Formats: sequence, structure tokens, C-alpha cells
Amino acid sequence: VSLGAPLPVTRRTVLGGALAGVAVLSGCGTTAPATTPEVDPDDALVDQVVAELDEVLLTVTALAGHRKLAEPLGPFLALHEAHRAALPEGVPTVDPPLPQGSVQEQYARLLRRERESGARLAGWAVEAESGTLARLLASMSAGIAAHVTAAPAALGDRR
Amino acid sequence: VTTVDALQTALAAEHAAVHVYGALGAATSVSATPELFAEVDAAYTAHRDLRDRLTAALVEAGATPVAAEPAYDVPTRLGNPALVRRAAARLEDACAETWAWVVANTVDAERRRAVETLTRTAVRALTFRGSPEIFPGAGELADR
Repeated sequence: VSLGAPLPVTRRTVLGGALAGVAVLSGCGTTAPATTPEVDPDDALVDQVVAELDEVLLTVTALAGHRKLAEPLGPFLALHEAHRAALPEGVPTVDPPLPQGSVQEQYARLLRRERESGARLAGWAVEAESGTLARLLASMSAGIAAHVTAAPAALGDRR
Repeated sequence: VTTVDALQTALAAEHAAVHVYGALGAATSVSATPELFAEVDAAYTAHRDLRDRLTAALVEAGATPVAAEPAYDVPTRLGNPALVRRAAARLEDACAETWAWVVANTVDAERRRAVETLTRTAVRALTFRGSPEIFPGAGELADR
């Protein structure tokens, strides 16, 4: 079974998906509005998600520049670039974090941040009005969980 | 799509998963491939528990849970551990697609459970696949 509909790549389609999702979830057969409302119920949520994805992507990008982290963080970089590309484009509004501590500590901190991000995305998936957006966020959250599980628990470990 | 419809779809998928994992279990050996046997057994148990939870939820909602089909398409080539792993990975991918669909078609507590189940399915698929998916249950996005 599949949803059968393309998932959003721009804010406009995110909004379109949100409207479709609300209609489906309410289970009613009322006529759809003739025009797109000015305010989409998922607008603020999408902004939060974009900021979250930007911050994590910038963090991983910065850390992946380290010789010892390039290999273990390669899959995370590909993951977050793909996730970010599924949402509206925009200039990141967050700054990359300054590296602190040993490379082992930075790696451990990143894994904790990944778990935190996965949990946030799961929570936002539940909050989303649009079923299409919820599916996308839940998939992202699951992808992060799988990547964290597959990653070495500590730098130097092999999985 | 109502919540009951979504749960019925999930239950139908879990009936299939339980059946196919039974066949995969029969194709593994506790003595020759103990690790694979344990992984298939754990997956079978997880899907059986999901089936039972969905059945109970549907009864509680006043619905009649869909019954298992008399038979399912079971992979015929299961002659070595790699083929069993591949079949299990495909099965988990199909379950992930279903649960992602359930996420889109439920709200509140049922959606939360679907999100959690999708995550557990993605992690379980890793056992058989060896590498993680970028968009579990929404593979069409990974190809863009």
C-alpha cells in the first residue's frame, strides 16, 4: 500500500498537501475552498522543521570536515542533505556550531543531537495537520533512527 | 479514510508479515544459522504482537478485524541465508510503506503509534538490509 501522491518539494506543495490532508482526515465530503487560504495550519510547523534540519545539517557538515569524522558522518551528511531537499528552499538562519571538546566528544554529542532531532520530527509528525507532511516527517524520523542504529556507538567502534 | 480503515489496512499487512515470516523461519536453522534464526524469530514475534494489538484496537473500536487470507505469496527461493535476508528486507520495506501510509491517514494517539511503529520497522529492516534507508516507507523520495 502506498500513499500514491508525490510528497512536497516546495512550500506551495507543502501547503497543497496540507489542505488535501485536512480534507481526508476530517472524512467529510464538503466542497473544498475555491482559493488557497492566506494562512496554512502547517506554516509555522514547516518553518520549525526547516530550522531544525538546517541546524543539524550545518552541524554535520562542520564536523564531517574533520579527518577522523569524515567516514562515520558520510551517511549522516547524505541523509540530512536528502531530508533538507524535501522541504522548501531557503537560506539557513542558524550558524554552524563551534566545535568543542575532543573529536570523540563531538561525535558522541552529535549522536545525541541526532536522537533529539529524530524525536522532534516524530513529535511534529503527530502535530501536522497535513497527512502528507506527517508521513514525510515520520519517514525522516525513522531514517534518523536507522542511521543512528547503524552508526558506531563511539568513535573507533566498528559496526 | 477513517482511522478504522487505516488500522484495517495495517492489520492486513501484519497478517501477511506474520505468515511470510513463518515461512522464512522454516527456511532457517537454529543450528546452522543461529544469528539469522534469532533475527527472523524476533521479527516474527514483533509482527505477531503488532497484529494482536491492531486486532484488539479494532475490536475496541467496535469493528470486525479483517481476517488473514487463506494464503499469501511467499518467496520461493529461500535456499540460502542471503535469500532469506533479502526476502525479510523486502517484507520490512513493504510494512514500512504501509505504516507510513497509516501515519498519513490517522491522527493523535493512533498516528503517534504509527510513527513509532514506522521507526521500529526501519530499524528492524536494518537487521536484514545492512544499511539504513534515508526515507523509510517513502522510498520514492530517495530517488529524486
